[in-house]
Amino acid sequence: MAFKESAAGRVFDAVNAGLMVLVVVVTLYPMLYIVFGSLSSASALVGHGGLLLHPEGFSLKAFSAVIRNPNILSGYRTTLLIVVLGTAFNLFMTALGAYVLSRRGFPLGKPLMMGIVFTMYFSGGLIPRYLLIYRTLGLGNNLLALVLPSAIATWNLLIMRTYFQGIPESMEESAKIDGANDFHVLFRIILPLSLPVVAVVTLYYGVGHWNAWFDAMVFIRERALYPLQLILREILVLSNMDTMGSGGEDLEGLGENLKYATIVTATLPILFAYPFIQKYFVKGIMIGAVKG
Amino acid sequence: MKRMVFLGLAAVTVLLLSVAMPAFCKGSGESGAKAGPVTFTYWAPMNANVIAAIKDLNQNLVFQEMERRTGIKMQFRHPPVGQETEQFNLIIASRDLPDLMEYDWTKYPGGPEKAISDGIIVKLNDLVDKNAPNYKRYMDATPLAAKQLKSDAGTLYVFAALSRSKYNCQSGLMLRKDWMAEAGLKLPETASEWTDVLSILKKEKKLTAPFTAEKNQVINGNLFSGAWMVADGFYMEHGKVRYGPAMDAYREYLEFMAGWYKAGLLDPDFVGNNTRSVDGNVTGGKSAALFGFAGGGMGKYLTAMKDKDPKFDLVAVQYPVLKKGTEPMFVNRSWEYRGTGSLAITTADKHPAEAARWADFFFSEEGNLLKNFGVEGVTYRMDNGYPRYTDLIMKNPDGLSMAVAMGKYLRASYPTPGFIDERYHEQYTSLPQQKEAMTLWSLYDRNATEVLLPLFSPTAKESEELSTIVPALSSYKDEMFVKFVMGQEPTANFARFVAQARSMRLDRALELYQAAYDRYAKR
Amino acid sequence: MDRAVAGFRRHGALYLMAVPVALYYIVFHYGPMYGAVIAFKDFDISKGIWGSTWVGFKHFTDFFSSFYFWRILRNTVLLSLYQLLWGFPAPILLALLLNEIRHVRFRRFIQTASYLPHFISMVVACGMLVDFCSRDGVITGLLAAVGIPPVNLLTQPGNFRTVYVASGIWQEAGWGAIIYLAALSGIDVQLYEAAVIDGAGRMRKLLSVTIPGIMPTVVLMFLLHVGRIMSLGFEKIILLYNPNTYETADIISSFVYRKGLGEGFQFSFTAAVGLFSSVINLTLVVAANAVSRRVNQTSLW
Repeated sequence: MAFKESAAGRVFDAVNAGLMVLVVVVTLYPMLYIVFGSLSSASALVGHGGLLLHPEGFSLKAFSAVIRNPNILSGYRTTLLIVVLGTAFNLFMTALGAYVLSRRGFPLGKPLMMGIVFTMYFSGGLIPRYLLIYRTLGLGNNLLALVLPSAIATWNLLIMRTYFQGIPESMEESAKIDGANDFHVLFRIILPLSLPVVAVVTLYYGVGHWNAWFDAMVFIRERALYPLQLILREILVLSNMDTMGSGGEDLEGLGENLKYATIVTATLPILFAYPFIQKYFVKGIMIGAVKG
Repeated sequence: MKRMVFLGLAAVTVLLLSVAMPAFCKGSGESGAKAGPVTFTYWAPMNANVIAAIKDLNQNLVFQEMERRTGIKMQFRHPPVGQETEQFNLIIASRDLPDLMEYDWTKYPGGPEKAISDGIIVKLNDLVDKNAPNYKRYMDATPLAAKQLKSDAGTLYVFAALSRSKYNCQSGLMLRKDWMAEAGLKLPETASEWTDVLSILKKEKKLTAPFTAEKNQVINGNLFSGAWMVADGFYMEHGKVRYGPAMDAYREYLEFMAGWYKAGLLDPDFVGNNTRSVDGNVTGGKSAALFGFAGGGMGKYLTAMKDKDPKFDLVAVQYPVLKKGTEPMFVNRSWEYRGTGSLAITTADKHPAEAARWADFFFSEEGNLLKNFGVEGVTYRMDNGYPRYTDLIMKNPDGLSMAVAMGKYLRASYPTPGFIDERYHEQYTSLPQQKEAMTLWSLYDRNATEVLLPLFSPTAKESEELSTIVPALSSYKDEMFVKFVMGQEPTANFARFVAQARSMRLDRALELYQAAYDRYAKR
Repeated sequence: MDRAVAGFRRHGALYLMAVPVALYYIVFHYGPMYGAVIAFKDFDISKGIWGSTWVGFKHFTDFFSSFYFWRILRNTVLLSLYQLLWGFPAPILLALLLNEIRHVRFRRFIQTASYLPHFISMVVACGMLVDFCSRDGVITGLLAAVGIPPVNLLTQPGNFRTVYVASGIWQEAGWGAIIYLAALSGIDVQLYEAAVIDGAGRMRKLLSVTIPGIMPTVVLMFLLHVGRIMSLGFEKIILLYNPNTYETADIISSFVYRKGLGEGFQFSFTAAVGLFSSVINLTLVVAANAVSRRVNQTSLW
């Protein structure tokens, strides 16, 4: 796509680049602040105001407090399990729903849509849900309680549906003419054309599972099955408590630095996983190139 | 491709089920056939210091020792730290009761009496008479505590977490000891002496926030209002419930604080202060005085400044009065009955007598030593009859901090069934300033029992009605307090403020609290 | 009957696909929905939902007649509207600008950095904010450089909404841009090629290909956000407000939160307030959707 770049275009590019640098500073720096803070000693952080340009009183005590926790490894393991299996299940269910709801001729489409959107605004509340999952379905202390009740997030369903609606009907029609059924259309045609939205929805569900703690708090009894975030929250309460902390060593892992260390522990894995998702946000899908 | 997808999904489903099954089977196997020793299911909130070291209380020395002595096994259920109330509500809603529950039963919606009438926990009076001699003896000997922990109808409902310590007050006012010494000043006792001290220090040290505290402490902490014999909220005056801000004396207090603000003696940003702001003021040399806790405040600052400024020192100051020589009344103390950490026997328990006997042990001298000091030779040594913690606790070889070591081996540092012992308090605070602080602040804590709201129990209906009055009233009072103090509203309009508070049904709230108090008084 | 059979044959697979989805919603969403009635009862946790006494609209009247009702309603609506006005376009703008960065590595780096604040917990983010907005805080200092007198920004009621919305943009714009980046990736390249052939420059391409290409996503997100206007959470408010800023900062959820602190959690009252908010939210969405249908021919259902 060679074409002449106008002067206005170049100015715009320069301004844009500058703006983006500003964006990076404003968004990256707070994370650096947190990393520095997590490597600082608690007493050095007491009363520290303003920017952190380096760790104050370098100390690994905060991280040691996190890693020492008897449940941290099981927390990672449980969360990883739920993220992988849960997200796969979510994608499956959501893709089915989004596909069905995006087909124009389908008579059930509108009532189904309205019924689903209604649930975004009205719910029965915590207690009936708890009774359903715990008593009726008997999923107490079962990891399925963290996966089944959240099988579909309507928000994500709508996003995927909108995307599917954007794919020209001609794709479906020509496939159908060639004898394909709806399953074929969904899995062989629509989904391959929808990699960006699949990536986004995978990200949303994945991060959702990664950050989730509430349902586990409600349904899971054994600490060995607690997901990571719940363990981290427990560790955090330690730093919030107005303990009768005697002077001295007690403080080292127990102050602000602990809060920062838990954030780093929770966010680092996401940072590592993200580039795999990011490559799907590539410009330019050739709709025409993918044919049945 | 389709086949792959279906295979993949089948794999996912199989995996999910295989993951779920063991957890399902593992989790649901609770108290089965109890052939042999008695087993209780025990629901107990975990203190954060405990969770940092062990997974459940069966790994705690106290419970291990108890099992050795009594043969009774405990099967623990611990809610996630910080989410105890939510879990508690769900347990009640689903009626999936464990045998024993440690909780603050005064917070049961509708009060402890209702917990019994709802069929959740059992009345303990008979059980205690027959099976808990130590507990009974304590209550007969200490009517004040006994009153706190019975319900309005005289029902005993918990094996309570009680304090026998003489240190019931862990927080109060503090000053920079080094600066006071430099300026040759004596510790202030009256409100006007405070004004003098702060003015002098402000000038000498060029302080921007001579007195600092968190926003909630300034607005609702009864820090200086006690000098005028009123509280920042509801309190007792000779058996009658009063609302401090509606009393005439409160106006004088407001004028005093407004004067401080105008003269720059009160932190001008107090209304936005959180813990970090106070930290910054104290360690940054912007403040001479603050309100804080012996541990989390004093301890924190003394440690933090140890190297940065070796001269830095804090000294605790007694709660202020108006006239020199009078005793402060509004001391920030905790009641003997701590509320939280108290053990109830639920209706699901099949061996209440054994449970009562088990719990009663903690109220004996032997049990008290176990709970607070652990096992002799391991976690403490007797030093002329005084139990002294060993290095396992004080200088733990695994590198555990004192707090965490105590969490692992003892049940001393947070309220649990039994007594909070002052010898624990004395050893836990390592710095002399902290010990002095606790002693000084607790000196007049007896007085507070006459003015602080006691642990009465409003009924469910009363609570509900109160919740329609008090939150709005508190918001209004907080806003007006700030406006008066910051000079945005002239104190001349105090009468209008009171009239407005009255129109928000203040009197009805007073009635409701009075009714709950009267029932309490009759216990 | 024949028509039904023919319909079924044509859409057979679709009906089959719809089954697990419908089942999920019925079991997990409609199943527990009876619980919504606790808004009309005096919920007693030990009596359960059916055993609790019916009180009709009592909680609603209590709510509407609270002293601060109009204030918290006004603050909730205004704060949401400001957030919509400034916070909604921000991620879109960011995505469009990112799209114009040619250098792939640089673009990826910016994009990754931009979403990091989303993962900073609210407590820590607000802790930093309170610190930076204090009298000698970093942000206050920057503002002082452009002539704004240095006072603690969060003690002034007039500043609250600005701080709230601006910090919200900082925290969420990067993460929110992701969906728009995905939408941008979905635009058929052939449309761009055709535009170039027609002699379109960058601006023209933006207006006639890019923007229409992401419009369905924009409209959807807008409708979804409109449906959240009444649902502003309390956590951030609680961490940033104080009695001096209650008049602009206190919203429905923060007020209800304080109510629960004093006399214990009020299940029924909270449910009633939630129901009230939901009804308003749904009404707004239906209205917005109707407008969208007329203007855009896009509708949520």
